[in-house]
Amino acid sequence: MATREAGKKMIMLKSPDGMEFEVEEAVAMESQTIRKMIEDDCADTAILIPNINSKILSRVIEYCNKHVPTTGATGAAASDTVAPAALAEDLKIWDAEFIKVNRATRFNLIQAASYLNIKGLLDLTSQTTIDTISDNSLEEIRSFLSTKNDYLPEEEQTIRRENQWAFQ
Amino acid sequence: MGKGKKVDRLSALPDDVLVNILDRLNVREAARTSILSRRWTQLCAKLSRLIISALDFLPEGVLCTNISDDELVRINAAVVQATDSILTRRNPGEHTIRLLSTRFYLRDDVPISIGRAVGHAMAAHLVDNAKFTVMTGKYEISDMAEDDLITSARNFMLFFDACPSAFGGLTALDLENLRFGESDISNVLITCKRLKHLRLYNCDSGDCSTLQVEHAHLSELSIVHCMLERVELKWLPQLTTMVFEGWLQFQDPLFIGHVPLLFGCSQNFRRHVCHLFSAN
Repeated sequence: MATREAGKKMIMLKSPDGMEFEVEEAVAMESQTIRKMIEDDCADTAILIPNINSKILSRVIEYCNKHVPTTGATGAAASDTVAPAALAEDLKIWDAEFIKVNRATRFNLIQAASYLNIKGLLDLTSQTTIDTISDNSLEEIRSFLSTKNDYLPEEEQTIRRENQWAFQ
Repeated sequence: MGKGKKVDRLSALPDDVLVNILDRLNVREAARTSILSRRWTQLCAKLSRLIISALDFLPEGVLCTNISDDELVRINAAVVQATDSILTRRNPGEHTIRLLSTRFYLRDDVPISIGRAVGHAMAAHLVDNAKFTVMTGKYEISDMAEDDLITSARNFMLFFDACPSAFGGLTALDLENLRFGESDISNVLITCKRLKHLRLYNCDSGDCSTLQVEHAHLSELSIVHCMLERVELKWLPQLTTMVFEGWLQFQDPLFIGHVPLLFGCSQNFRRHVCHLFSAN
């Protein structure tokens, strides 16, 4: 958990299962949802994050900690200047390790990234799903998403005909 | 992995998250998911980034520089079907289209069919950005006969004349290998009143001709391998980025008129191509 550093404002995040996480405000503000709460002054004590358990929340915080722009000597955020290629490469490797999780965790992370509105994390967690849809046959996609086909046979015929161009 | 009977966790996600995921796919891949279930059909009607490219219909392992004529006709027809299919399933006015980008070959009446579909979409939906990338299917500039360039430009102008509403709402236009008639480019710029990005690759109005550009909204202009003697930026109040490549070595090729934003950052004249608005 984050330790308090001089001059850095800390924010308390609470998961529904009762865990508390103290994080730097800048880290928490990687989430646009939390940023908005802070900017609207709805966050003076602690912020309860609904629907995201402590296991997932701690991973989200881990991600934000890694991705928060570091402040350079000039005071400008690192993202405003050209990030050194090495740093970007390092982040990429870190991301690849971070996302080595099972499906259930990944879907939970997608949901968390979506609720908390953290674009980078949503991009990262969605990618496997995107790759699956891009690279596999329909039956494989159906099995991966475990989606139930709820079409009547004749409806499915029509839908297939309308989307035939996508299967050429 | 997929055990089949497990709870469908992905489908438990709200629509906007799933649409966000589908938006990262090309429309061909996204449309395939319509077959999964009724919900996925509805999701496909809510996509906000519609990028429909002939190149997505190339057979696996085939390069666009190496396709047969039959293949070109087939994939071009697929772009028309995709455009119609993906646009007609939307409920008018319900979800904003942030980008509607189509890339197709200038061949037969395909451009006109696409132009009309795009024009109708602009009337029925909110379309923030619309782009045409018009390809000629030719790649070696040195191999191109002047007649081919002139014929292509005539075909483009027929397309342009047939689809005023689509061009009127266009925000980006990418053209290649066209030798226009004298006033064609100005006419295109007048009709394309919302245009922000224009890229001309090997386009001119005759060997060593002059290109004059006046436009209220154009913010990015790319001129690549164009046989132009002179470019006159007459009145471009919004122009911020100018990209030149393959410039003919004449003296004083550039005339700068009223281009306040560009002049303010004249150090940004770059000799490389910046893909600020590349669709993919």
